[in-house]
Amino acid sequence: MPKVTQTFKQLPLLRNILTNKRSGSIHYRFSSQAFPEKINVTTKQLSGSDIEQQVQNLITLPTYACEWNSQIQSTPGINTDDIIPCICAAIKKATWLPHHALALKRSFLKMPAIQVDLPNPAIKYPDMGAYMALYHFTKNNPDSSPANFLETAYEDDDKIRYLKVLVLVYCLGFMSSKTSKKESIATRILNRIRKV
Amino acid sequence: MNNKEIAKILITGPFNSGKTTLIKFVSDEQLTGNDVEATDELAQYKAMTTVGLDFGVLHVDDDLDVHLFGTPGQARFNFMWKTLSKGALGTVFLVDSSSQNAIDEAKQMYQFYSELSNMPIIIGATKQDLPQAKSIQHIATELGIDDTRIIPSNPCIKEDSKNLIIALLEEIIEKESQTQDAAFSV
Repeated sequence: MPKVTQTFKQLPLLRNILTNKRSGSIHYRFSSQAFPEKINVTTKQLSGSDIEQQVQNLITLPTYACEWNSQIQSTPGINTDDIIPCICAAIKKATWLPHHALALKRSFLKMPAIQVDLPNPAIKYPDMGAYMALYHFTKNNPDSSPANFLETAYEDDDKIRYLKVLVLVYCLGFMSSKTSKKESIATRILNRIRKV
Repeated sequence: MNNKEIAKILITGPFNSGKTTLIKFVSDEQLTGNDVEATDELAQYKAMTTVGLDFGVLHVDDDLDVHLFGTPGQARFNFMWKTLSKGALGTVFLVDSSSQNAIDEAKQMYQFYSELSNMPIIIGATKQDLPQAKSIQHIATELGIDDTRIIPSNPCIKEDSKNLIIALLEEIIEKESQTQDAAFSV
């Protein structure tokens, strides 16, 4: 049986919808499914319990295939204040199978240095301790990447808490890449070595 | 007081792969390790070999120097590899294409360096001009990597040495500037 590549490619799409504050849909298929499903992120549907479950699935299950439907991007924008509680609740309840957690972690390990915003007052994330740990870590270690942050978790519980808070700040667009010191140094050396 | 920042680049690879020569061409100053007469089975390949470290300094600007460390190629010095790799920007890994023994040794060294927390590595296949040289594809297969990741290089040619360092720096920059979203791609 051919090996199915499982990815969390749906997260950038979810983030795209959320950070652009637009309605949209992600068509996705988990590896065990024959037919694709669709998640619609619109203001109207945010209050339903179903969307929370769908977001939770998107966060916890690798997808076999997923794509962004841009056709309805022009519909009215969503209210971020509405969706934040939904995302927070979904992440709070999320649990991963060990190999799925590993696959998700691998994606974060590839990320470059980041900076994280101070918590938005609208966030009532149940584990603000983890959020503040991430915020202070990136603030005090300007070249730190998610990999460095995850390395600071010693207990198994902390590893999952830290993974969850990374998913949270990523999906809500509260983390941004920064030109790392390494990149800046490499660029300076490159300019110099060309003249050698 | 001089508060220059120091960046570190490793030049590594098995015995007789061209590390000393490469460092010579891309450094402003070079402190050569002790070249001594090769002994035992190595003597048939190379009269002199480096024991200890090759070390070069490239002055980038008023605030930055690059230290180039040539790590001892002999397997008996492998206790130094981890220490030297700490804090390095990346590694140029040289492989002597003309010797299957060297390629076998490179496999073990490459395994070690490729496991070092995502450190960027550029591989230079040296001595490709020799008639007994193994092909790039052969070396790639032996190392378990794609052949596009290996650059044929002659460290005795200055431009080749420079190009390996340039390729490494470009890889570092690309890796560092990788967007967050790309991390979710396979």
